[in-house]
Amino acid sequence: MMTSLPSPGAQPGSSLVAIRGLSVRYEERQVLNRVDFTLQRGQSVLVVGASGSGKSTLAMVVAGLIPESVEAEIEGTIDRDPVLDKPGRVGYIFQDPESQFCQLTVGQEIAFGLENMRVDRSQMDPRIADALQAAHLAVSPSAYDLTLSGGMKQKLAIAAALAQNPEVVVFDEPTANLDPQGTAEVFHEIRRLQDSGRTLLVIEHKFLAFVDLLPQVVLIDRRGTVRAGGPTRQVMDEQWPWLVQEGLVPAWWKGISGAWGQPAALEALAAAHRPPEAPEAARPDLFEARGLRFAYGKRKAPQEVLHGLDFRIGAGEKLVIVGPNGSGKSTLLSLLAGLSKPSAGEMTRPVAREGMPVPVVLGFQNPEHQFVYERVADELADGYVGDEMPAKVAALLKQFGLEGYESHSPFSLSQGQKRRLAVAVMVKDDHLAYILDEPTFGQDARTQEAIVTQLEALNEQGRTVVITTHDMELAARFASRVMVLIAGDIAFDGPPEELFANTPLMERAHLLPESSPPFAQPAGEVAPDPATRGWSRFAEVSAAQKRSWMGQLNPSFKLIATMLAMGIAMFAANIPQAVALAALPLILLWVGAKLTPGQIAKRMAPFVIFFILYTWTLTAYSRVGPHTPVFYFLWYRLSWTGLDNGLVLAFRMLASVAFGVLFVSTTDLTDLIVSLSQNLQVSPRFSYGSLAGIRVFPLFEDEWRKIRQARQLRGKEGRFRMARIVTYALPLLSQAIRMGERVSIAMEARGFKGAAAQDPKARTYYREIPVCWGDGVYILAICAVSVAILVLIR
Amino acid sequence: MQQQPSMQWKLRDIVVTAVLATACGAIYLGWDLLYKFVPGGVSPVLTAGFNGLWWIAAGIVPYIVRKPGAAVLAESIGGFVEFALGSPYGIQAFTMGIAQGLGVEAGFALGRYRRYRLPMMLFATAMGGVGNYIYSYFYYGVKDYTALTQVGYLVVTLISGAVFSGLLSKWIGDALKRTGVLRNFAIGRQAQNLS
Repeated sequence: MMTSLPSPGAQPGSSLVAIRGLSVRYEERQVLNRVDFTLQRGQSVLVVGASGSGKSTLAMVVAGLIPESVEAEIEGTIDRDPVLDKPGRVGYIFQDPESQFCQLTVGQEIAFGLENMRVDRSQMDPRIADALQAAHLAVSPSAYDLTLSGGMKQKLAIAAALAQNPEVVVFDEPTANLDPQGTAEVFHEIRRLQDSGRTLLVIEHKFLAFVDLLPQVVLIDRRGTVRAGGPTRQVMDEQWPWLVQEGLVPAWWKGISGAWGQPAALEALAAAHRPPEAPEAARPDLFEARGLRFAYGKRKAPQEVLHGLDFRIGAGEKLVIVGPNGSGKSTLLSLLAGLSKPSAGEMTRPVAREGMPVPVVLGFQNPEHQFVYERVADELADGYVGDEMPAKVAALLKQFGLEGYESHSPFSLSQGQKRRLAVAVMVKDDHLAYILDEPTFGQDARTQEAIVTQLEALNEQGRTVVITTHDMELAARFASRVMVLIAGDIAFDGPPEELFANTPLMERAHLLPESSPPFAQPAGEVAPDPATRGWSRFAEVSAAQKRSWMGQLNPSFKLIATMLAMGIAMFAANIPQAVALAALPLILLWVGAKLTPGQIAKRMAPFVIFFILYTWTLTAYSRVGPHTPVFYFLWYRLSWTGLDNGLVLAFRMLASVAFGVLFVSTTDLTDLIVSLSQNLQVSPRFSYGSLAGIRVFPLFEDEWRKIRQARQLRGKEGRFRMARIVTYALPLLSQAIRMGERVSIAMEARGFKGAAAQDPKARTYYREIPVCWGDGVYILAICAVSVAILVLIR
Repeated sequence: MQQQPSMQWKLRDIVVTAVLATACGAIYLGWDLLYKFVPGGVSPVLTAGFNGLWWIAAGIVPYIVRKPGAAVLAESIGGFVEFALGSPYGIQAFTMGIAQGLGVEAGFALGRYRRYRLPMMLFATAMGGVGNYIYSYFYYGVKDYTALTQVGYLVVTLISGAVFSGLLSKWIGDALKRTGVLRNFAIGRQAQNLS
C-alpha cells in the first residue's frame, strides 16, 4: 500500500497511523513481515487474510495494544498520532462476545470506559443512554450483560466504544461467533458508522458484504506480508484467484458479484447439489421422536426448550438443522446423542451393543470439549501410546494433516487443527450416525472444505450425518433434508430447495443476512443463557435487603466491622458469652437486614451439622485438668470440660456464619469492589481486575457440563483415576486462562492503563459509594457490643 | 539468555489470578460439603489430612504468575468466593483463606520469589499449613486439644498442604504449560529462559 506523507492537524485525510516495514514476532512465530500500512482520518479499511496471517496483530498495533498490552518483538517504524494514546481514542470490538467485558451490568460496562477517561459522573448516564441508542441496543442499563445474546453483546461492545467517542473503531472479526441474525445486526452498525464518517478498520471473514462499503482493502498472505492493497472492488477482482487459492473464499464461488446468502442463490446452489435421482423411499428409521419435550431446571420453574417434536431420521440421511440462536438446536443434538433424557415424550435411538463402538457420536461446537488425552497421538489411539506409533494412528495423522504434531498437546493446536483432530477422533471408528454441532464454525474455507468432504465420504458409505449450522451455503450444498427450529418448535422439515423458496419463513427463522430490522430485539425468542442460572445467587442482592438499613452501609466498612467482630469473638470463654455473640448478628439479620425469621433459618440451616461436629470434636479431644472427671467410650475420652469448650466454639462459629450471611445478603459484589478503590485506596488494577476474573465464573458451569457429556460419550467418564482428574480440568482451565487474558486486553483497549488503572484518584466512578458517619458508628457499635458482652457476662 | 523475571503485576496476571482463584473457591465449597461426610470427628489428626486442599489457589496461582503477593491475593479471592457462595464456615472461610495465603506467601518470599521448583512448591505450601495451624489454634479450638493431638494435627496439616496444594498445583500447572496457554505468563517465560 502507498504511504502518504503525514500532515499535521485533525482535518480529514490526515494520517492517523503510518506504519513502515513492520515485522512482528511472538517468540518463535513471525506474524507480520515488512508491512507498510497507512490509516487516514475518515478513511475506512478492510483487512483480509487467512487465520494466523497477522490481521489482528496489525489491528492491535494500530490500536496501540502491541507492544504495550501484548508482548511482541517489533521491527520497523510505527507513527501514531499522539491523540490516539489517550484513553478511549481507539474503540476495539473483539471477536469473542464472552470475553470482552469486565463488569456485571450494561450500564457499568459502558461507564467503565468513561471512568478511565475521567468523565464527570453527572455526564455518564446521558452518555450511556446515547451510546445504547447509537448502537441500537434497546436494553436497560441495569440489565446483566450475561443475559444478552451474542449479537446483543457485540452491540454492547460497540456502544461501549462509541460512548468514548473514538477517533478510530477497530472491528476484529466481530461476527465470527454470531448467527446470521447477529451478524446482520453488527453489519448494520458498521454500515451506519461508515456513513457517519468514522474511521474504521474492519477485519471480517464474511468480507464480501463490505466490498462496496469500505473503500480500501489490504490483503495479507499466510507469511504475513501485504499481498495487495487499494480500492476494494478493484483489488478483489484482480486477486480473486489468490483469494480462492488462499482458502479465503470457497472454490465454488464464481466471483465477487455473486448474491451470496440470498434465497435465489441458495436455491440454485441446493438444486445443483441434489443427487440426480430421488433416493429410495424405504429406509429403516434410525431415530424417531414422538412428542419430544425438554425442559431445564425441572423443579421450580421449568424452562421448556423443546415443545413436543415429532420426526424420524432414516439411515443414510444428511440432515441439517438450522434456526436462530437459542432455538433448541444443541439441546436436540444432545437428545439424539443420548446425552440428555427427554422430560416428556419419546425418543427412539439405535441401541449400543457390547464390544462395538457406540452407535451415535456427537461432535461438540468447541472441539476442546472432546479432548481427553494430553497428546495428539493418544487422542487418536484412544489410549496411551509410546513412541511406537500404531499404523492406524499414523494413517489418521496423514489423512487429517496433523503429521508432526503427534506429541503436541491437543489444546496447543490452531483452531483449524483442533477441529480436524476432533473430526478425526470421531471418524476413526465406525458409527451408525455422526452428529456435529456447527462443525465449520470459526473455520477458514480450507478447513471447512476438508470437513465437508469427510462428511460426504461417510455419507456415501451409508452413514447418517446430522449437523447444525448457521451457514446457509453449507446447508444448501450438503443437506438432503433441512429442519428449521424456531423457539423449540419445528417450523419446517423438508428438502432444502423448498426452504430457500420460502422467503417469509427464512426471514422468520433469521436465516437471511438482511432479515432483521435493526431495532428488533429477538429477546422473546432467546432462551436465557444457561450460564446465567448460577449467576443470580452470586451477584444479586434482593431489593428489600438492599434498601434495608444494613444494605445502605458502606461495603468495605461493613467487611471491616465483620472481621473485627470475629476477632473479638475469639475471646469468648463461656457459653453465655458465645450465645450472646451469636445472637448479635442474628438480631441484625432480622432487624437491620429485614429478613424474615424463616429466611434466616433457611440460610443458617446448612450449618447445623458443623455445629454438632465442632461440639463433638472438642468433647472427645479436649485437654483436661488433672482432677476433671472423664468418661471413656470406645477410644474417646469424653469430658464435661470438653463439651463446654465445644459449645463455646460452636456458638462462636455460629456467630461467624451469621455475620457472613448478614454481609452477603446485604452487599452487592460490584459495590464492594468499587468501594475497595474508592474508599480504601486499593489500586483499581487489583479491584477491577479481580471483578473481571470473578465474572468469568458462571461460564464454568456450562463448560463443565459440556466436558462431562463429551467424556460420557467417549466412555471416559466414571473411572476414577487421579491422572484423569488432572486432564479433566485441563480444557476448563485452559479456556478460563485464555478468557482471562482476552478480558485483560479488552480492558486495556478501553483505556484501563497508566494512571487510570493504578491510581484510585486518577479515575472517576460511575457508582458513588459514600462513607458516612453511620459507617463509623456501625463499626464502633459492633465492637462495643461485642466487648460489652465479654466484660459484662461472666 | 538468563533474564530476570519481572516482579511487576500485569493486568492479565491479576485477571487470571482471579479466574483461577474463583474456580478454587468453588472447589473449596465442594470440599467444605464433602468434609461433612467425614465420619464425625474420628480424630482431629486424621481429619487434618483434608486441610491441604483448602489453599491450592495459593499453590497454583504463584506457580503460574510468580509475583509477590500472589498467594495472598489468590487465597483472599478464593476464600471470599467460597464464603460468598455459602460456605458453612461463614466469614471465617475468607479470613482463614488469608491466613493460609500468608503462610504460603512467607514460603515463597524466603525463595525471594525466584524459586518455583518442586522442593520450594512443597515447602511453601506446607507453610500454608502453619498459617492454618495458627488460625485454628485460636479460632477452631486447637489450643484446647491435648499436646499430642496438637502436634499430630500440625504435622498432618503440613503434609496435607504439601501434597494437595503443592504437588497437585505443580502437576496441574505443568500440564497447563504444555497446552501452550501460559506462554504470556511468568511460568512460560521462565521455562524458556532456562532452556
